[in-house]
Amino acid sequence: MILASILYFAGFTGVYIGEHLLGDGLGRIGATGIGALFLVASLLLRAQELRQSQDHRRGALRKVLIAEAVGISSLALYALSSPSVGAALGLDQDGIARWHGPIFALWPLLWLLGTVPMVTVDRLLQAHPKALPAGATASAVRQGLVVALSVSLLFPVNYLALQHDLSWDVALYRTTRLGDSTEAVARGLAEPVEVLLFYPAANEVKEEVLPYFTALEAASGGQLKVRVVDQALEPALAEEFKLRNNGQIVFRQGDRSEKMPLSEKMDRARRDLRKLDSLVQKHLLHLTKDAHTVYWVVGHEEASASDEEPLRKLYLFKKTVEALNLKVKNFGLTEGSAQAVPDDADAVILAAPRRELLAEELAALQAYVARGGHLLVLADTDATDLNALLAPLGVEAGDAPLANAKHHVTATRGPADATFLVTNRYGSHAVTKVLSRHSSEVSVYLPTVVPLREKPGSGAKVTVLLRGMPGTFSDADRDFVQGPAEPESADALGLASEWGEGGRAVVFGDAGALSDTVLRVSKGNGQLGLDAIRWLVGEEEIIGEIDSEEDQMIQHTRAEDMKWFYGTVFLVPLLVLGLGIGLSAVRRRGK
Amino acid sequence: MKPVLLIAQRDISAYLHGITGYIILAAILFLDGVFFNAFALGSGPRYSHEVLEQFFYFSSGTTMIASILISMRAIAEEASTGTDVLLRTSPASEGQVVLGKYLASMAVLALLTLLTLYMPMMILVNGHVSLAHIATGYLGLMLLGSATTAIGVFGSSLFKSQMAAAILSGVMVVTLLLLWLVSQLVDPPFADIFAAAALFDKHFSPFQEGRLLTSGLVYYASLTWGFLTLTTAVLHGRRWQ
Repeated sequence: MILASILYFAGFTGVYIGEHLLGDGLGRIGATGIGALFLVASLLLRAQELRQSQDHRRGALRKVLIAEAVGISSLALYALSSPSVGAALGLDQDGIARWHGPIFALWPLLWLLGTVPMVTVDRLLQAHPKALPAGATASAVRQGLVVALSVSLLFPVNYLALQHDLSWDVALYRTTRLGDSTEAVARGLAEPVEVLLFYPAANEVKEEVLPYFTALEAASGGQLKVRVVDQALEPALAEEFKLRNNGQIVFRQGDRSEKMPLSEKMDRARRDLRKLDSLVQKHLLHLTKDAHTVYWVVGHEEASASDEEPLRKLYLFKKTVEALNLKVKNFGLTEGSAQAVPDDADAVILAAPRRELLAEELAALQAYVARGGHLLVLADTDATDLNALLAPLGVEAGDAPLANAKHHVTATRGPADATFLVTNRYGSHAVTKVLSRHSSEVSVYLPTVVPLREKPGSGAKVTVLLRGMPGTFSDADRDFVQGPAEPESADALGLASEWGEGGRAVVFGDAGALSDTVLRVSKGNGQLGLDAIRWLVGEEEIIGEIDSEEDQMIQHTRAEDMKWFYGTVFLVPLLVLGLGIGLSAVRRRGK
Repeated sequence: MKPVLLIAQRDISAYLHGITGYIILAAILFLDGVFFNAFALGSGPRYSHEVLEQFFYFSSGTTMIASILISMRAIAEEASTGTDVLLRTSPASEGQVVLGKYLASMAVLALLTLLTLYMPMMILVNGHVSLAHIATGYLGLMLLGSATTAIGVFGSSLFKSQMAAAILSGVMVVTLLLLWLVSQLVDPPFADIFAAAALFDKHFSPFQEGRLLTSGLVYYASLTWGFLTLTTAVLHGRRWQ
């Protein structure tokens, strides 16, 4: 009987291998043929046993034989799905698909209905070699059929579930709310603005953005009007803006307009919905404000948008500046940097030059400062000495990097990480207004920062923007460890300076703080750079938060790393173990 | 329903009465913590949704291991200690016994899964993920755990030795996992059948990514149902032996 079962399963395995794994050829014929022979042999063995058996086992053996025959008949049913049968019946492609449907649904069912009762009755016969208990065979067959039908039911149920699958995506893609910075832009509109949302009447993206624009309309005090327009129903209006499809937001003021594409398909619009507030602000500023110009000093190995060093590549920062409707222009010798800063300059950026400025260039910048210019200066550990330029601003920069054994970012897991500072100690100034409001949750990262301090006697009003965390020291010997001659530093990491008739400067001790690498990780650094530029060009009235639902990269400081590691790996498992030991001890004492 | 709850209650207290249950819980939590630190968080900066997805990815592995370790004793222990006679002669049907055993294992697994909740909550401190994503991932873990617990209970019904039960259940789970790879090797219609029957790739990944699919719910529920039915059949067959 065991042999018959082995032959039965080996036979099906052989047929499966022959028909599905070996492809056409002798191998297929051999495996299928051997499989079929095994099945026939199994059936014959069962029949022989039935013929030789005693009366009280005959009923059970007959049922096993019938069950096995049913199982094997599934193979015959499956054979009807072969291409030769389809051809013999003269079926076309659609006909073959319809022919295969019921066959593929029925043959596994037939196999299970035969095989499972066969196994259950087989087990019963093995357990009772001499006499079967009354009713046992019927019960075994019934149980086998229940199992077979239950398992059979799983296939159509899962098939239907797959065919009619419903899906809900609950990963974070919330549309941003109206941030106070964009609200300030709307509040300050001097002339009316119309916002046209080109979407069909029933559209989920429109439903998603409408509350945002309604809030913007309310904040504008009547200067901004929002209207939903279907491109198909108002082709003339769409043509005016050269729109061929829906999925566009148009901002119009007088005869000027700005187009903001936002797909009408939700899966494509999600990415933009997460930063809707910043996109709207960018387009509103482009529409309503005159373009200003910011000059970026070049020609002395400055950090720049195209720098290849990760901590000196300032592409994202440049994009942030441009989003404020500021044109960024290079300012080198060919642009007249040795003569004078152009009159249309709203600000000048000097980003950690590695080579000294020419005396004429320095004189031009000093003249710009003297006439009340606006300057963003990024000092750095490997930048040239900038103190000649910083002196009139009332600022002096050191050259040794600051370090902190505890409050630093884990970047390389080496000792050099001590100079990758993190701080949430912000000064009281327009540039750090937003950061101060969120100081408990937003930090600023500064890889290799030099100390900045106020230089008395310049007449400029200097305000601290950023301070180091407790334990920050000037690493004079650059060994990343605090030595006896390296006391705790009280120097600033960022300063703002004001002088004369509207002269303004922001100085940071690190160009890396505004690099792409850091801006991708730290929301605080992005806000700091943005608000510094806004303040420099005199747009402090729109300093505020831009709401963003964009995902944050998780980067830990060393102190956080230790907390996370010990907390997750040891603390909770030890608590559970302790609870178990405690409860066991209490129980033992109770006994 | 009363016999089911009585059996479940008895088994839950048996799990939590001795120190072994706590050792298993602590060991699995330790593993979860190591995977969370070493792989989900990694050494470099990573988007918070990636960290969450990786957490669920690795937690699915520990959930499968835990469910087998928890369920291996469900019926095997009764057989090895001889107390299965009491169950066989009790007024509870085989189905009720199986359901009670399964619910007890699931309760312990749910407790274990709940204890890992602090890890995604830590992501919320510095990151930006939705609570619904966390809830969906946990629903996926519980569904996967339900299916593997049912497999574990089935394995436990076949042997007196808990170790043998755990090994067989592990083999069944690994086989179901490998069906995905097998589906890449065979032709239709078996390729589709194997892919749909595979335990992880097609059905768990959406939960991990914060997508709730009805096909995943149906698959895990039907797998649980199927193995509990098989277990009932095994116990039924044993009654005649």
